[in-house]
Amino acid sequence: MSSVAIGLSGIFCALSLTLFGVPVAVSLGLIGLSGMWFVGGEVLMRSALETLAYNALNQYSFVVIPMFVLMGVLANKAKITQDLYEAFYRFMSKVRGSLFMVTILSSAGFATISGSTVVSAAVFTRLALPQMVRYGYHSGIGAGCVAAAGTFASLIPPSIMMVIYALLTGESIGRLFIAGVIPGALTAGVYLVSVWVMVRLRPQIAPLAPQEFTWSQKMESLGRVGPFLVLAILVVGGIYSGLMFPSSAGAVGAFGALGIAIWRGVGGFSHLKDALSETAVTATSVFMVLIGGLIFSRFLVFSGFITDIVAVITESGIAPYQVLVAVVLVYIALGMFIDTVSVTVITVPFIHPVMVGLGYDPIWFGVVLVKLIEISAITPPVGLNLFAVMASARTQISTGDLFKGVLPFLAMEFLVLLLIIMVPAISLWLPETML
Amino acid sequence: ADYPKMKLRLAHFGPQVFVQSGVDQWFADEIERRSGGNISIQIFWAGAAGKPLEILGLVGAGAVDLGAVPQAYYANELPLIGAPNSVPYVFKTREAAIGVSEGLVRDNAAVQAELARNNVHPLFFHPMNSYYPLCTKPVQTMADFQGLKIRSFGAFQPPMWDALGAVGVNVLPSDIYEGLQRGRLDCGFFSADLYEVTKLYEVAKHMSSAGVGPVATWPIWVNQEKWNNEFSDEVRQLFTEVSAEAQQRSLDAIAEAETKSLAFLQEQGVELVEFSDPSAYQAAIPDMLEVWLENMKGKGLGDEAQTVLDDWRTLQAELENDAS
Amino acid sequence: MTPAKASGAANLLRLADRVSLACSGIALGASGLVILAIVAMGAVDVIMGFTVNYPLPAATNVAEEALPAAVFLAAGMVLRNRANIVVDVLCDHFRSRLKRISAVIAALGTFVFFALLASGAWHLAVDSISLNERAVAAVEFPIWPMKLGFAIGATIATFEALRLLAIAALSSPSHQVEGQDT
Ligand code: NA
Ligand code: NA
Repeated sequence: MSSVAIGLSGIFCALSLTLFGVPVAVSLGLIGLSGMWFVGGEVLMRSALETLAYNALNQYSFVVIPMFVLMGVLANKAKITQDLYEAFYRFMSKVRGSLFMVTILSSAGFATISGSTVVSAAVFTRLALPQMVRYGYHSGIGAGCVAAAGTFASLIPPSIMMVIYALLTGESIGRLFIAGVIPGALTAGVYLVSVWVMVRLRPQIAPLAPQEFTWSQKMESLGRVGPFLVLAILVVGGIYSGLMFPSSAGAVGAFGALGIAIWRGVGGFSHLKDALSETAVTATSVFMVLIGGLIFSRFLVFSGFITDIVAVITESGIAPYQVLVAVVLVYIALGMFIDTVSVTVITVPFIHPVMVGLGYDPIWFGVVLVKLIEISAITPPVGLNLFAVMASARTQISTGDLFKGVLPFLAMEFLVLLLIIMVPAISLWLPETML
Repeated sequence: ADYPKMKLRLAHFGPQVFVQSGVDQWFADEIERRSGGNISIQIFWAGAAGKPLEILGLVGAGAVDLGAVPQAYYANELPLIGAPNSVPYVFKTREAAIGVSEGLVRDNAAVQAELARNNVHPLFFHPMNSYYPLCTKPVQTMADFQGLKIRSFGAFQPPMWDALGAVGVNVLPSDIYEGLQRGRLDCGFFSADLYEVTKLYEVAKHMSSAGVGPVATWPIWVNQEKWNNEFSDEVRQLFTEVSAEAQQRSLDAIAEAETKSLAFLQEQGVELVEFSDPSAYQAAIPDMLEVWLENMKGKGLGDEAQTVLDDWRTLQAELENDAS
Repeated sequence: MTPAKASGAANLLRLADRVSLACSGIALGASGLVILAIVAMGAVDVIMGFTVNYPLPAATNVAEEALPAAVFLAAGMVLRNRANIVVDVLCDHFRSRLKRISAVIAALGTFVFFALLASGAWHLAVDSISLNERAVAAVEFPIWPMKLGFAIGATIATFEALRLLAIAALSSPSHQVEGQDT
């Protein structure tokens, strides 16, 4: 059996089990383990069992996930975000879809401190989704909006994916960070405009406030956003003033949210116990998918599937733009079924020199790649951001609603991807001007 | 010779951009070439086949045939042979760091027992250039170390920073760049060639000459049982021969990389700051081998560590006197 | 099956349910405490760095070593609450017979997966205890308790998965058993 056939069969089996209702982590994990047995024998499978799960989690960069989730849970309990959304709702009561817009804008804001899209998606599901549902918004599109806006975190600096790309290729971290700014802002802009159009075409997904708010009502709601500002200043200010590393922001944010919860009288033992349980369950269900995905991608690595599929493209002798199209299509196709972050680590060392050799700008290609990884995080049926939203939303939405709800945002992502590919200046103008 | 067909997998912890990684690729290519294409080694870079802390176990269990991961990552499994990798401010030359590691594997019974317990055998060691602080401000005097926020790692770097009055900061590699940019960190701590790779010169422009000297770093590990019982004499002969050449290549490449990277860093606007009082610096730092011995005693490994230390000092004296 | 047998099975299930609820609950509490400890350490680390320019030694190391235990100690409750991420776009439309088959396969797969993970985790924990494994850090704290917690969490999750498998296999398709459908 060729490695490509082995890999495709593995993907097919894992996908079938997933669609048959087997938990995502279990189908990826079990097929991954069987696959490892098939390509490397029992020794390989056993070694993965013994060390992979522990060592996959035993990384400081993952600690931020439960930290920020706890911050989100506490912020929700202490009504910190509810007050923010309420104020926004009252001030923008004449603007249809304003809560989609505030979600998009605050996700972009959160992206300036968080480098991980999963964290953003998990946090904003807690913060934004209940508020949108409360005001009668379409929950599926609301959840899709949260999942999609979460991906800003990897284009807008800081970005874990860009640091990984830089380390694998030797490109400049600073240039990559700056190159991501305009594409990140552009994505947010496209989202805002598209949402504006969308709510005009389908007004029922975002009902307007039934009444006009008076000035005193508006000011009253504004008076209650103080705690939100304190939390934002604590976290954003803490990072930008050099008081703490981005990786510490989660703990500090959770600590701050706990302080506000206590101040607002919801920080007692039983509240804290609930918040911690909720956090643990949410984070663990995301981590389970992560572990399943890692087992599966390690099977794909050992089978030779990843390297062979890259070789097929890079050694095909086709024209540069065809290579680019092929690379993009392969990432999108693979990204529908597997988590591309681990795949990137394996493919970039092969693909980067080929693209540079064909005359493509490596910084630009980095931006394109990060965009592709973002897209893969929100393509059904296997997308980490979608699962982060599912884990945090629990009973509020069904998978089907979420998959449908994310489709408009996927269309916007493809539009932005096309723009970034056709107009390299979007990525390159800023680094060329500033550095 | 007529070599058997072998397809070997090498799990590598690092990316291809490290200088030593280039030598590892050469090693794999050269084994394939000299075996007439019969023995191929596929390298899985950057932890793709196993996270750094898994690789030693993967090699020992035979899940992969070869591995590349620093010995210092395994302070519990490899406390002895990990020392020439993890103890700073001991070696003056790269040759000595490598030679001591090699000598311990060859002669020291406690080291051999440790390797046998883990079922691994090191084929050859890489050197690593001396680490120097690359800072956002000049570090020139002993006073400049007071309260200096500098990257720290492992168990033996912290006591050195304590002795100098600096503040060791444990930092995620992906946070170092921003930490320097925003002032949470004053200095990175890597070698010149690693500064080139990690791009930290973009945000820190003063490199101090107060370093810690070279160390030995990752060997190519091979599963010991396979090495002893499954590899034929010809194969072992071939691997030994190519390993020796690879080690020499690594020494040359690392020396050249330091010169080149220093020039590159200067081109990028990095100022090389000559430390004004090297003797005070030297006097402030404790005998790190004694620090290590005390640490080993605390783990109940005092006797073994003492034999390692005796061999180490003899070997190092020979190697460094030869060099001078 | 006969009514007597059915009620015997139901009693057994009820007992298993109470035991596994207690275990998963205690483990979840432990997981929450670990998370709280990580928050506290992270905050103290930043505050100390800011006020006395001396970050908490080894805070990051403790946090990363504690994470796997925190995650797996909550796994039992994740299974119990059916918070496992499931893509239900197709199986929601299954007819009752197919739905039952899919539920049994899902439960069986989950049990096998966690049983395998738990066996691996115990292997890891036993190795760690025998080495008296300690962290490579400024403060060399022991790691084995965290690996033990990781293994205990995986074991509790395995029992929880077994209970769910029993429920899925024994439940008759005509009436819903507690937690049957989510
Ligand atoms: Na970001
Ligand atoms: Na996807």
